[in-house]
Amino acid sequence: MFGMNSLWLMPTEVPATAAPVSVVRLVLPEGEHITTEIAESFAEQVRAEGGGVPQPVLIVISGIASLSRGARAVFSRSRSASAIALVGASAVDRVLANFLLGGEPPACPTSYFGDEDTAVAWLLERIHGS
Amino acid sequence: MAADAGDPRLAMLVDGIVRLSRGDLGSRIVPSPARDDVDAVITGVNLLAEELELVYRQFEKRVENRTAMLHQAHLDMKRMAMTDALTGLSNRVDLVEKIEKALSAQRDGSPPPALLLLDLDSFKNVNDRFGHDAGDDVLREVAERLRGAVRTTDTVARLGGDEFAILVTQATMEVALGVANRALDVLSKSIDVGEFDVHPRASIGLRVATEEHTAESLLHEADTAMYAAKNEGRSAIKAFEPVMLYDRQLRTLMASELRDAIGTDQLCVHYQPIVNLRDGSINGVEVLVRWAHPTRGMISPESFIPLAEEIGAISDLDRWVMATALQQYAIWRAARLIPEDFQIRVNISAIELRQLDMVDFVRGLLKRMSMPPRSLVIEITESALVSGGEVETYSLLSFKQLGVCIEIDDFGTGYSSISYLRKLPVDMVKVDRSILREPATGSWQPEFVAAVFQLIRAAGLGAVFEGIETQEQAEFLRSLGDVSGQGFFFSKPLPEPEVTALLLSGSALPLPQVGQH
Repeated sequence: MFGMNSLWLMPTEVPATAAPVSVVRLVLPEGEHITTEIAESFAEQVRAEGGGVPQPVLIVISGIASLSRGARAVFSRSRSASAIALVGASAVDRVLANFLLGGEPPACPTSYFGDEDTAVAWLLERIHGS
Repeated sequence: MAADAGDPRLAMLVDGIVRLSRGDLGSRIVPSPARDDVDAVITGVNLLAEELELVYRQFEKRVENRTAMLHQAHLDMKRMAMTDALTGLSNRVDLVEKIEKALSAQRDGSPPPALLLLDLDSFKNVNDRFGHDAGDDVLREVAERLRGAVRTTDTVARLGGDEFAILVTQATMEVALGVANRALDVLSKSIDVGEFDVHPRASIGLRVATEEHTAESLLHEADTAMYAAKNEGRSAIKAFEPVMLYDRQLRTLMASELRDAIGTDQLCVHYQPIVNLRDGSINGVEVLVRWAHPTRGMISPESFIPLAEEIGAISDLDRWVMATALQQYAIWRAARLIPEDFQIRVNISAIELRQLDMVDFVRGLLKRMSMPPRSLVIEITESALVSGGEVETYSLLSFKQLGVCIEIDDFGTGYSSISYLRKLPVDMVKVDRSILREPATGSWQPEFVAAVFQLIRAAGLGAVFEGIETQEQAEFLRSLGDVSGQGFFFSKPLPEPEVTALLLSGSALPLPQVGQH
């Protein structure tokens, strides 16, 4: 029911010898109130995807109705992401995203973006930049 | 996507904020599908409201928890304040509360409560002889036994020291006496304290409440009854009678008068000559304190000395008597009225033996009066000698080392055993008057007296017989050997001028005519 797909990306800035990097891309269901259960199911998918290795994660939150505190806690506890980029479209998304990032953020770098390209670039920079 | 001036969502937003500010933290504003800035503000307000609601709920929960903790702490404190720490029994505060409850139930038609006050007899000896830890063990055991002796509806309390109380609810005199007897019964078995057994006997005062009682008056009357029981002797149960209050008031009055009398001319000492039975010569005197009360006349030492012990005035009294007597000795000695071997006998209380400075006091006096220690005989009752602990023994040995003679007083009335005679650091024995006179018939048994004398001699001690009233007794005692004696046959106790005159005359006793000096 909820969309999720993995992308294989070849960043332009990195040498051709570098191994392809996978970014886990999650799309939260539009119009939904994101509950703890929904958040847990997404977190489970990220864990499965990474196989124990922290992955860069991109979460599209455009159009979600709201986020529960429980969902926010699932996000805070996340240990399977190496970096998280939130992507939204509207002013409402921005407010919700910052609610998600406020309070206790997860242990990895996090940021909000208005479009996916900038978000992916930021994620890749996290991987290779340092 | 700027909001129009007439955007209805702004009005909704204002209403929503008003609801929230009124305290309705569960209220939310529904954003529109436009998801523009106004919706962002709405979403933000909703999120903040949710946060606020959560914080508020957590705060409420914490207040609730803290209130519960405070309540529990209050209960704990109350329980601690109501409990005797040593025994876990109720304490006085709790007892008074329960008495008040029982009295109020009585006013509502329930049967009256009864209050038993219980005081352990000679508990102080346990502390003195075995130490305070042993004393505490005894108190805990007594508490446990008493708890087992009452009904579940009754309350056992410890009021402090060795004083316990039992509140019997819905009582009759019969029920209360039943509980009192059970209490005495459970205490009759000895308590094991280390290597020793302690017999925790008790005196019990009992009062069944009337409609007029307050907790305070009930306690006071039960206490008065206990006081009477204590005077009665060991293991006594006494129910309150109004006359006890009067006795007690009189005693309280007498106690304060006695305190005032010590050191004034209301107290004086009399001297009863001790006679060498061989020739009737006076070889000593026993110093006896008298209280000439301004309104009640002469009060006998039998009634005011126990009182002095009870109110803690015995030390002052004993020391005053000791100082007066030794001063008198010095005067007689200076006037050459008394021979070298003349001995002055002073009674001291068992309590005084526990005063570590008593020996120093006597040493100081002897020195000041230039009196040879052997001329002083300290008379101590047999029970005090036998039941004395380490401090008492230490005092006795110190007196002995000082050179003062020690005499067992009232020999034959208490614990006498041959082994005690041999073990105790004493020099002399004063044989009680009851040995000379068979109590029931008033007749006397010379063979028995002779046997007692033999016993004393066999222990290597000197003997003085008191209560010699007839020539027959005097002659018989003389026939036994080297014996001294005192009694009305020779002379009653005399005030100082009369005894001085007697010494001055150098007469042998008894004087040929009664009343002459």
